[in-house]
Amino acid sequence: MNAIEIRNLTKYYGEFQALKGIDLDIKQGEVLGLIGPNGAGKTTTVRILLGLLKKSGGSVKVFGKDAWEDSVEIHERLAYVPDDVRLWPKLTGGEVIDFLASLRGGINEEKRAYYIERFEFDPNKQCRSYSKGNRQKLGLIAAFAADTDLIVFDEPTGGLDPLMSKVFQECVAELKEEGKTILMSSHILADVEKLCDRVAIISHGEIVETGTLDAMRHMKRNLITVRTKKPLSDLSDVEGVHNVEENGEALSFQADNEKIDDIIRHLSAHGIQSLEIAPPTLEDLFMRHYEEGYHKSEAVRDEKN
Amino acid sequence: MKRTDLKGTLTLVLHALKGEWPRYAIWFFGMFALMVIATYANGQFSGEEMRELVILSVGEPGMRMLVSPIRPEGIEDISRFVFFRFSFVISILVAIMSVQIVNRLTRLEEDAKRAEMVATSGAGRYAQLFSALIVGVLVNLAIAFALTLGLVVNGVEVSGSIVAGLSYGALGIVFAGVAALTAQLSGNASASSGLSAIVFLAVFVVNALSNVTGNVHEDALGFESSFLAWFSPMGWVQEVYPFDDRNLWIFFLFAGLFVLLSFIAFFLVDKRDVGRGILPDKRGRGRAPGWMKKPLGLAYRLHRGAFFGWLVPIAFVGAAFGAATGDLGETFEDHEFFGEAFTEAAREMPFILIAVATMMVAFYARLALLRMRKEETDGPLDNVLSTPLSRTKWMASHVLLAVLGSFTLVMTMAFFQGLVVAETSSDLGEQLLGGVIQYGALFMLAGLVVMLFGLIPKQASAVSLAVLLYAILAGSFFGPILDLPEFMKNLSPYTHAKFLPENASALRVLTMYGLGIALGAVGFIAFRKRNMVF
Ligand SMILES: Nc1ncnc2c1ncn2[C@@H]1O[C@H](COP(=O)(O)OP(=O)(O)O)[C@@H](O)[C@H]1O
Ligand SMILES: [Mg+2]
Repeated sequence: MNAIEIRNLTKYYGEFQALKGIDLDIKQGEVLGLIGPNGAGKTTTVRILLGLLKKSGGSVKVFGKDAWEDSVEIHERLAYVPDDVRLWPKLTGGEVIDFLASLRGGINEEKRAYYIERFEFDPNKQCRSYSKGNRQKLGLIAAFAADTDLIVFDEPTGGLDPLMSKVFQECVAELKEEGKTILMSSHILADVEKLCDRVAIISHGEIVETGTLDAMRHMKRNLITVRTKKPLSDLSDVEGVHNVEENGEALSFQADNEKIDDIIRHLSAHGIQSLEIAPPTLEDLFMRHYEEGYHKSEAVRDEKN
Repeated sequence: MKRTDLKGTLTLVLHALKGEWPRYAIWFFGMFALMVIATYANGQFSGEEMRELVILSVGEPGMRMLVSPIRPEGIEDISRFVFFRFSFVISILVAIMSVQIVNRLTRLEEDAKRAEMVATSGAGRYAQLFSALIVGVLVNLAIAFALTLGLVVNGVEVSGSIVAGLSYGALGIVFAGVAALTAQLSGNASASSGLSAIVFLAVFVVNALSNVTGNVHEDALGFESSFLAWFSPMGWVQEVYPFDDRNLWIFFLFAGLFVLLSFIAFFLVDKRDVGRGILPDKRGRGRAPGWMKKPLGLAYRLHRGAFFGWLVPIAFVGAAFGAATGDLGETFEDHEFFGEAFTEAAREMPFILIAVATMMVAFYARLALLRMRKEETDGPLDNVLSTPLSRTKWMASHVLLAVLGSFTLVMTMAFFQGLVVAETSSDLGEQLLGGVIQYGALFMLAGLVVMLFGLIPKQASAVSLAVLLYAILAGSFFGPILDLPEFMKNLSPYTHAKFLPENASALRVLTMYGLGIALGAVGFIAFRKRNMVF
């Protein structure tokens, strides 16, 4: 059964179309990573899912219910950690955790204590004195302590230092063991690579790829670095070869998986001296999908800063 | 202090002017219009009528709180007469404006985390505060010009008009300094404007007392303030006498106080971190008490600071008003020849003051309701509404507290005033009834704010302020003084809340309560249907 079903979801901000027909399913008990650069539409998708924003078209179902109409019932089974956790400056962290967890149907005292300890969080301070990372921890603890079926994270590790990112990953792994459904958006690939059963790549308001990482890797290009006796002057003309770069003595290029046999034959005809083949990293998958729009998204990031 | 500490000030000044000019333009034209209309409308009185009006106000100590000193000579001259009646409202508006300008450019920027970015992008430590003060001074000079122009187009003598205009500009500049200081002391923007409001209330009360305890001229043809006026910048404005003595040296007082306040503010900048106040962050409790885990409990926690900040001063204002009107009887015995009209006026006085207090409390109600918008823009709302709490319940908890809070404030004022003036318990009951009647107008305005929040969240703050100022200026107290046309006065709910309970129409009062509920309901429905927008 699907915990989340998104069909042909569109969203306009005035004239601007932020989402252009998103289709996405998340099975119960699955951990799905929604990855894409800044401005791709991750936060928009998540806020529609939570009934905070109205969709322009399509359908969004969570636990079989409409995300907008039945948001209150849906929220009984869900916890959400926004990309920037901003709370009441004068309240203490502990008070906020208690309040949010109570609204979510009661505090699991054991978990509350457990996660406060795990994240080395000081609940006695006023929220205004927490750094971004500490506010992020606060949001995570409040979500974890509520013990819900579905947890939605928007850029969860944005403000966490590497040590805390690791704690976060361990916590998510534990929740996965417990059978919780998790949706996690990110532009930090390392988070997603380790934790997620499946990833969906979003770019310019469209899902450009969904699947397990392994399945995606098969379809993608390997990175080959090679040195040959005879010069490889005509390499770019070989079918399936892309982005040839000179690398001192060696050449490096990307090779389509289905053409790998022909390419290797071509190389060995020139007398291979050394050869390295690296599987594509998520980074490569990711980069390829927004190569066209890459400069645009850089600009968006600059604007935001 | 290093030279680089002020780096980037000019850029920030230009940035502020570019971003905020519509607000400044509204204030400029609003103040100009107020001055033109007030001068023109009051210019229609005959000399005899002006003298009568002066006698009526000056004869009552309670009323003297709301006017400024005037001398028997030249009462019939519109220049003196218009300030006699309008000094009070112009001072309030100029102070509110200045506090708002500086607060927006300092604390609000910090709360929005923009200041941090400015600070790390190479601007000097003092640049943010310095630029806010510069903008504050510039806008106040513009307001001085607007006031002067409003007088001059009505044919008032030019040099006196300039001095008069500048005296209010100077008061505004002092409040820019006050806001600069409170911005450093408090932890966030709303605490800072709350602290400024308390300072203003103190300045107002001291000045009011200086008028009450002042020296009344023969036959109540004007009065002089007592020495207390020198302890209140509002009193300084009134001591300038722009059309008589022209005490220009008082401007040194204004300048001195402004420099002192700014200096302390700059000094405190170094003593605190960006985003914090000078008052230290306390180590709090790590657990929420049971009541705070419910939506209404949390809303109470969020409203209570501002509420108790108002409660004590408003009780004090009630008692002070009461004390001032309390000895009415005695004053009037000296003026028996005024007869009936005076007894009537004397009875009406405490009820007028309840109306004025209700107008002040309207500002509290507006801010308490806009707390919802703040929750939305500041971020917590996303978190709260992603729990099983429905939008309607969340909204109801805030609206309920804003309404209960403002109602309690009005009734507290009426009660404390009643304690002093009332001779029997039925008198006290009548005072409270006066409060309920006046609150009808506020309730309707509150409904309107709720509607604005639901329908046009981004504009709700600006539009509700405009509506509120209009309702007050066209209402029962200022409307007649401004001699506005009937239809304009009738648009203000305050016009329909007559001062004396026996004059108020029950139907109209109930209609206002009903309209408040209807407008509020529109807000609730609209909020359920809209996006959360930052
Ligand atoms: N309230 C808004 N008004 C107009 N445009 C918006 C608004 N919110 C987001 N956008 C735009 O929609 C696009 C998607 O934004 P968002 O969902 O925040 O992306 P992400 O979370 O992937 O960084 C961006 O181009 C952004 O500029
Ligand atoms: Mg985002």
